[in-house]
Amino acid sequence: MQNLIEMTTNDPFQRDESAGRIAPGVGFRTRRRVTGGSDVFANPPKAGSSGLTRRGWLEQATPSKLGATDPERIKGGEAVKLTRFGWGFLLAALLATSGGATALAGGPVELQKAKGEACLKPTDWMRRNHMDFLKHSREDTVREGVRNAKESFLNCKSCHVSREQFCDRCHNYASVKPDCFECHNYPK
Amino acid sequence: MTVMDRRKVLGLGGALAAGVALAPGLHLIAAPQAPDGASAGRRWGMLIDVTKCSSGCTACIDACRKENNVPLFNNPQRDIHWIRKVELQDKAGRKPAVSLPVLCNHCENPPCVHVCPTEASFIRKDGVVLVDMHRCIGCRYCMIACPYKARSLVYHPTSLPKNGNPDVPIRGKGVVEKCTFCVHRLDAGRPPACVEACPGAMLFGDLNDPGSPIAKRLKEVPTQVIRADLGLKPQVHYQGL
Amino acid sequence: MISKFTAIEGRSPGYFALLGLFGLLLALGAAAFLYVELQGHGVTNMTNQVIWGLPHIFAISLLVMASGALNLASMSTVFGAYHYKQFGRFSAFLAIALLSGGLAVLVLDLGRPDRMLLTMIHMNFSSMFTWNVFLYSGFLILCFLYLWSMFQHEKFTKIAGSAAFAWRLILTTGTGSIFGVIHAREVFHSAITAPTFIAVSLTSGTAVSVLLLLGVFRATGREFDQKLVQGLRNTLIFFTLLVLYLLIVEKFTKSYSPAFYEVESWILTGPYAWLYWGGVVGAGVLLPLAILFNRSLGNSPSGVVAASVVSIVGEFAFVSHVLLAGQSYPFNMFPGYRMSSPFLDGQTASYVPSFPEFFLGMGGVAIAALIFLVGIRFFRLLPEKAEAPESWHPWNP
Repeated sequence: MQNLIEMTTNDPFQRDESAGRIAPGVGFRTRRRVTGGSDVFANPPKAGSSGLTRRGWLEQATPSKLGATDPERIKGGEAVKLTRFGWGFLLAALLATSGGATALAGGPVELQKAKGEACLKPTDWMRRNHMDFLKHSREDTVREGVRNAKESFLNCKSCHVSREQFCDRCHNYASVKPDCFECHNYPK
Repeated sequence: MTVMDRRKVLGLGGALAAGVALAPGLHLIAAPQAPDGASAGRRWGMLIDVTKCSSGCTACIDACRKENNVPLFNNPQRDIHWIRKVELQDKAGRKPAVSLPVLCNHCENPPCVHVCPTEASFIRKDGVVLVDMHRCIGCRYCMIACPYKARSLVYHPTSLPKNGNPDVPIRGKGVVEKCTFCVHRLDAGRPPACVEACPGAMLFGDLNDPGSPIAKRLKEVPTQVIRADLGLKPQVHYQGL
Repeated sequence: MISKFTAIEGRSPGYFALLGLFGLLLALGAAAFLYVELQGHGVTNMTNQVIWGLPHIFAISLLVMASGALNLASMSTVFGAYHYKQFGRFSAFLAIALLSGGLAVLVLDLGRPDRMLLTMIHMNFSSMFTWNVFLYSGFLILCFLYLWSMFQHEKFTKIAGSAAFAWRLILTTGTGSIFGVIHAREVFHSAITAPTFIAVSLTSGTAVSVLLLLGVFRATGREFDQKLVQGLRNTLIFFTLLVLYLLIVEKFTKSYSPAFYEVESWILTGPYAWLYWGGVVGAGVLLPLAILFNRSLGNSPSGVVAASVVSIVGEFAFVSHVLLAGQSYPFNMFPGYRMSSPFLDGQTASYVPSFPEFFLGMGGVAIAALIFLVGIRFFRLLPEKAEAPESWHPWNP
């Protein structure tokens, strides 16, 4: 029982603390993998140092006496617990809201050659930033009514003829799932 | 003026490159575009002559459905209507029955825009009330607030109909959609599809332009709006109601 | 004199059974959420007429109850009823638990829950929803501070408690105003809607506190002074009378105006009249009052518990009525005319909730219950013995 509680109550915080240090900015999924049992950071030395308050917390729930709580002995206990509860609460909320993990990996993926001579921006820039570019244009078009044909999906199409061979292929490879084409038409 | 800044950046490289690159997509630039965006000087409005609207005619609805890919789900509770024909009968039975189209009124004080938590519903500079589908979280508060029942939630996944209009994106499930005054057509210098299809009961134009037919007619004949008492200042006016 | 605060032992089969039950409900709620999220709202029974269905009823009920759950704490901290001070920690914690449950349902019923963080990025300050984002998160923070001060730093209790109390009033005003400010909906458009929500939150929050207090004390074999039962009963009576007063004022004002004849007679005799009379008036006001004023029932813990259960049903009915009747009543676009159209204009909408909606809502209840159960197990929220001062004699009707 004691072990169980220790597992369930202490570990999550330690785990995330250490994982955050190893792989900042990596998604939820990866984080969990990193903290697997084999990893040295899964059991950071810190775990022992704060054991005192934790023991007090556990003791309080022992069946010996209901009144086994001595505020003097575990001074700061409630504050620690409350703060920890608060952080756990925030963390849980955050984790619940941050969904997808983005895998970043290099490697060749062959995309269809563009038909035209030059893109609106250099290839390197587009590779990295096309989503921001499209996003910005969409704000302008939808909200300001700026219809700038050359920045539209329909214009991408004039050089990158096939969505399957160009957009989808890289998106699949990078395992990102933009939902542009749920609604927008990329004409065949 | 973020729009201007961005355009300056893109202007030099973009104009040159696009000139070449655009050639195959000619149908796009064939229609006059609105490179400067919606004009704040304009206020698009509609005038519907109820006396000329016949009860059996659904030309405006059909045109709208086709133009904007408005889906039907074979469920009257969830079918989406951007514009609909309403039959009115005086409760006391002393006045003749009336048939008229009701659509989003593109209010000057739109309650849907006021209640939208993410500013997904917004009013464009030229007075068109729109939903930014990229930003709508599907909370449906706007549907609670709109007194004209102009909005519908997309309950089911939709796809582009076989002979649908590829220029208007369909809407994904879980967002709220409504009449856009065919904003894509307005920006290309064309009237909304319903007005084009209507055999003469609908008049569309810039209310701020005293020379426009709609502004002239509004000066000549008495008109009214739906629920003027709510103070929303709707831009869809009715004549002969 | 407050006896020592202790956590409950939390090892009995009953405790684990409760955890299991609510765990199961939570799992069902999660499944329902995923189902609705993946399939779209088409699998619910909501329509373009009834846009907010059962999940919203659960969510708003929990949120309204949450702000009311802070009552016992506020009564001692702000209004000097020190015999309730022993319930302060419990009360503030319960408020957090209920609010979390309600908020979860509210957020997970969005058409696009994946985009909910947009509410933090793009804010529209004319929207009640945007304000509620601040009100709810602020309330959570204040409740945490209040709890912390009650646990550790007694000297901050007054200020934290007062801030939390003021905030809860604004919070429920915000919740009620989601409906009250909507001019288009005649059923609930009223300046008195928000105050009525406050009164209902006072009633239901106290009721849920009574229910859980007496339940936990009985289940753990702790003592609960009979005088406190009477005191809580009096609180319930007072708040229920407040609800009754506001309901009467609203009906009286609206019935005085010919423009409201139609909608008012629809409420009182139409398809949702059963909900109004049976739920809002019967379960919300009359039945609890009858129980609480009864000499034997009103003085027995089980009688007060029964009244609390009925009050909570009444609160649920009140929120349901606001939502369902409010949305079902057709828009009156052309006063004096009968409307008909393929878009069902002029028709009263019908709505029967579906199972996914129910389980989504129950998932919120489960979240609240689990937070509460785990809370009383690990924190010293409850006094070992609920005592009342010798000198205090609660009023007896």
